Amino acid sequence: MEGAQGGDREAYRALLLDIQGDLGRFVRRRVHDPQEVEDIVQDVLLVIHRARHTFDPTRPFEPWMYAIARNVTIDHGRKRGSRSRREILTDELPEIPAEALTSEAPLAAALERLPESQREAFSMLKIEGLSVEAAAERAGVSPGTLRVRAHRAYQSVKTFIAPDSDEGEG
Amino acid sequence: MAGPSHDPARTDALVDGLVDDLKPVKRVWSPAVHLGFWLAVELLVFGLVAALALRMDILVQLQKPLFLLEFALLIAAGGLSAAMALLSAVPGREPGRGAVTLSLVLLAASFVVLYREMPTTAHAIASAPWGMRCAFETIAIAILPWAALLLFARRGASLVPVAAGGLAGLAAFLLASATMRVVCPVDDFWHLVLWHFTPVVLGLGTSALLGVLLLSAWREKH
Repeated sequence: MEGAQGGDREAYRALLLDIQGDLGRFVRRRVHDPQEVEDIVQDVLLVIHRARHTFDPTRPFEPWMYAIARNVTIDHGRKRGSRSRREILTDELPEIPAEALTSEAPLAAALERLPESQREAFSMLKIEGLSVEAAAERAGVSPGTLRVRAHRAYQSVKTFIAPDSDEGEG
Repeated sequence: MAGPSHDPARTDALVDGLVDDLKPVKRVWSPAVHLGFWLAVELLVFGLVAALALRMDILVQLQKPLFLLEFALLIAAGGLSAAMALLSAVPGREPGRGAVTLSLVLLAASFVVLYREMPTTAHAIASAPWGMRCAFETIAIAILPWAALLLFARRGASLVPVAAGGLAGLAAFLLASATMRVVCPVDDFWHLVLWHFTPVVLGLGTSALLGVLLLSAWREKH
């Protein structure tokens, strides 16, 4: 991580690949759904990326990494609980407007809730079908930044849309 | 059903994205260094206030062991809260229950000493204008150290922004309350609780809310 703090991309890639196994095992002990485990590991990698300036090389790496992993896992649990409660409430609604049943409506509503930069990244990659490079050029950011924005958007959209509507998203 | 997220290639793509996005970062100062700077800010504010508005009977008060003990307990609780706020800004360094409990014990002990030391009269209610002035002065004294502490915590990456924000507010307002003890000449239990400690509670709550707003922004960099 010290190398990554200095901008060493190879060291950073090696680190991110190296810790995936440990993170996966850590999360699997707390979450049983393989799909959710993967989502959480990806979120942990994102948070590690954003918090990398706080790592102190004179201290061990693992407590820092696992503190992040624990926090992200707990956050996911909270969101899952909140989603479940909303789903129960939704089941109790007497009527559902017909337009809400179309496959585009939930996606459009979810996109509306995203920050502008994430909505733009998602739309360019998933709806317009642009390449990462072309989309990054249009947005005026690096391809890496665009990939991260799109990933973040994808996670949020998945959270906003009920799991059953995933099929409609393709 | 394999949902759209169940795709290991997406993790590889994410790693590619993060590696592409990598830029050198300036390492954040350690909590100990931040704490040192913050204590310097506190000393500056305390020195300024003491130079401008020291209570007339301060020499008499400084000879009372209970006054000194209460003052020391407030300073210790405030300093410990500041240290915990700064530790909360670094993943893996969050304070344990022991430190939080110690801070609360110090605070409770200061109240016990205060209660044993002070007369309890209706003075607090009767002197509302004076009391409100004390409350405003407490807030004014707390503002700069509070802002400094939130700023230092914001440089980190707090996983518990509510706690970090709340502790920052608690620290700044407790030390402001301690500073007020060498300014305000009223030694009445209810005056101190009502007009010196209510700002501490308000500061704690406001700071916890501010913590959510200010100390979680690092998660949304992209």
